[in-house]
Amino acid sequence: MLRTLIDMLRLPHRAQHVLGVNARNRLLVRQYNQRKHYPLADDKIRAKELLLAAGVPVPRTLAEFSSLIEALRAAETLQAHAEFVVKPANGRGGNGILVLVGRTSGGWLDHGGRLHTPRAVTQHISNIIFGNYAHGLSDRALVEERLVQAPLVGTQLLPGLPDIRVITLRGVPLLSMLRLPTQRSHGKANLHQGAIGVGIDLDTGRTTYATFRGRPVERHPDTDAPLVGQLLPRWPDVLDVASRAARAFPLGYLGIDVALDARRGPVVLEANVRPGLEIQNANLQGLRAIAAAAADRSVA
Amino acid sequence: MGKGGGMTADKSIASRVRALDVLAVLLFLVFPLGLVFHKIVRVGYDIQSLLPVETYKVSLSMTCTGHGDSLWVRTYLPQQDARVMLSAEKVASDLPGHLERFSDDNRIGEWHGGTIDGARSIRVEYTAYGQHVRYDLDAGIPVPGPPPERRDPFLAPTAAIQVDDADIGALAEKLAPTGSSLDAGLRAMHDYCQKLGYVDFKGETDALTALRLGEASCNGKSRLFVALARHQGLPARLVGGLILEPGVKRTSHQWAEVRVGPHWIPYCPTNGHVARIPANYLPLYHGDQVLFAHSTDINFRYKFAIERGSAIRPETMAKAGADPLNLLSIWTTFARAGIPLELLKVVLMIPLGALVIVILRNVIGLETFGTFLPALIAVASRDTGLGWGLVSFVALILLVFLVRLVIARFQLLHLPHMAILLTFVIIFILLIAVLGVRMGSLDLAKVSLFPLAIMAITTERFSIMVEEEGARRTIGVALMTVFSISACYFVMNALTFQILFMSFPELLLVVIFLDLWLGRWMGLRVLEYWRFRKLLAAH
Repeated sequence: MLRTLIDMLRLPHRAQHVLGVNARNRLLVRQYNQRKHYPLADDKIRAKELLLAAGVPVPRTLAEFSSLIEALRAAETLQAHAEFVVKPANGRGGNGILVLVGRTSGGWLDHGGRLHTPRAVTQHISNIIFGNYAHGLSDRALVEERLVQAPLVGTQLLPGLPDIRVITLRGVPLLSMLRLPTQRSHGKANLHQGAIGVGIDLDTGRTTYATFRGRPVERHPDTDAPLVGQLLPRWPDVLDVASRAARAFPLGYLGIDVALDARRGPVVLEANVRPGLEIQNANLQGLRAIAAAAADRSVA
Repeated sequence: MGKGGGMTADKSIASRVRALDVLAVLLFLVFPLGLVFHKIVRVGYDIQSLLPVETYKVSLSMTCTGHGDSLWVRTYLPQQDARVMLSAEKVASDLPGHLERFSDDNRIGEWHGGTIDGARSIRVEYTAYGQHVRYDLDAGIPVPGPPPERRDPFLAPTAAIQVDDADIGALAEKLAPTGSSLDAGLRAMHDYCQKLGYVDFKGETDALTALRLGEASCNGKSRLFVALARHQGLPARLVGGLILEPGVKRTSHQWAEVRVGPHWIPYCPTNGHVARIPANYLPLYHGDQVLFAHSTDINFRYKFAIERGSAIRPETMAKAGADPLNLLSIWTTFARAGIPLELLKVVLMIPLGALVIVILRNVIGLETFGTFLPALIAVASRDTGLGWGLVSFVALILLVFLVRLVIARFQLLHLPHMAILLTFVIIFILLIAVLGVRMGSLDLAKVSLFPLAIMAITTERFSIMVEEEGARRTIGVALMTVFSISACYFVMNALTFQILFMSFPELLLVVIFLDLWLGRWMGLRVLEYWRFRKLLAAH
């Protein structure tokens, strides 16, 4: 009882290591990221232009659609491709992403084996342009090559693309985690949608800790693959790509999402100007003190 | 940051704002608080008079069921006088005819309709604020004694007030002998009637029966008192009305008044009030009347629902009208321009509502639909009361959820989808209003006044969130929104705050100061302590 009370009293002191939303917004986002530059990272098409210019590997663009007239010819344009990914340039939380993995007589198939006719794909692209995934503001649709997932921990059999989120301050990686989609997350790599967050030791690339729906886990709930103590392949390359990607933007505090393609190695999926804080739970490590130290170093 | 290592960003913020800090403290804290101090100490604002007074909101609902004949209903309505202030009176009914007339001292409301079949309802609402009044009678005034003739109706006998009865006459002379002190005589008459046994008898008791039985309900005691007073030449009358207390009641109360000079002095032999009347006595009629009358052959029921509330002291408002430093003084100007005072009160509270939202979100960590939406919904709930405001909010959310389930099948584009939801919201509000009028519930009918723009925004936020973050999380946010609406409602509707801000509008600067302070606060939000509990335990 007394012990609990003492623990309670020490909470504010211990909380100094942890980055909350208030401190993130004021110390990091407000301080390092100018609002006028947000669209450079928020818009996937514009972000990709910057990354390409900086020589950072990104998924190959197959097509872009920015008007309904173009969208009407989408099926025709995509005819040549058996597999591809359709994304809204300004979607959030993985919404509006359509992954097609193979072709049949009537159209394309997704992971679940459902048929998407050329008409349905055209409709989806029109919806993106109409702003269904961007709060009603008109948007652009981006069609990219489908990446081939390099073997990572426990990811072989799963739908959805795992990625590595690296938090960077002025291009310096601060904290990272592997995000593994689960059946519960419906293939999405967002932690609040039910993906697994796996903490990574930045120096070694070895996984240290994993959380699933707010609880620590040792093994993947769908595949039973061990999650902790695994060495991630090509770790120095992942960090290098993330860091170069971060420096491509005029934004100082970013969350860079990197996927590991079997053929091309690490490729950058997107950059987030206001990366989530759940990464601290995945690493069991607070970001505030780390960010403070990095900020001091970058000035010194 | 902590003591260990300051973040450079932290330091640069600090040095940049240090000079501004001093300015902010002076402008937003020292200046307004100084002005408040000045008003209280130098100008002599009376804090006591700024505190709100107790009011009662009375809702009288009457239902009558006709059987194809024409019907009418009549009752007495309260009137404002020096002691009782009335406001916000509303009358609604689904009977076609309504008229108001004055008869003697009384205000009568009448409703009628031809060939009515089935139930009809009538509703009367008003807010009353009364004061406790005590009269000091000069001990030198004598009891005049039985008059030679009783042409004054307030001295005359009636069937139920048997002034001429010998027993009553003897008792009156014994209690208040002719020529003795009127004050003491009336007190003796009152005490006699009060000491009679009390029976909770619904019907009418005449004066003589009360005397013979030695027990009576309020009307019997009051009639006996009136008969005794009249016998000794003191003009007296019955008063019928309500004792205001929270709850639902189906009984009215009767007391008596005796005319001394130009004044009617109240006596209540049931509850022992001698030459005084409590604040919560609300007179509805004077004279030996029946509160409700209606055509025969109908089913008639009524009830009074009474709620306690609070209001600004009318004296305070009058006094403040002359003070140029006081926003209350603007009220009169506003009123002349036809801008309701309520509007000013609400507008003044919006910054405070916004501050509540800042605290709920940035300090506690609640999430809500839209940023300041809960504050606006709280404002919108002002007319309907928080209960109905929340009910309609939740009902609306459910409606949008169900409609979405159906129209999602059409796979519509975003904007047409939203337009359809909005149309359903309007249909829903119309239905509620119609239902409210049918049920005779003005509160429910007022839901239609719930500003439509706010509803539309709510709908849109809700809709987007269900799509992006799933139903479960959305329900959680909806609950937090309901909580935030309630918190805003209580703060923004607290009369103490309203009066404080109207008397000291400079406090808005203090609100800005608090916003500034919270805007720089970077601690963990309360809910983040839970979110990062494992992390906190690990350190």
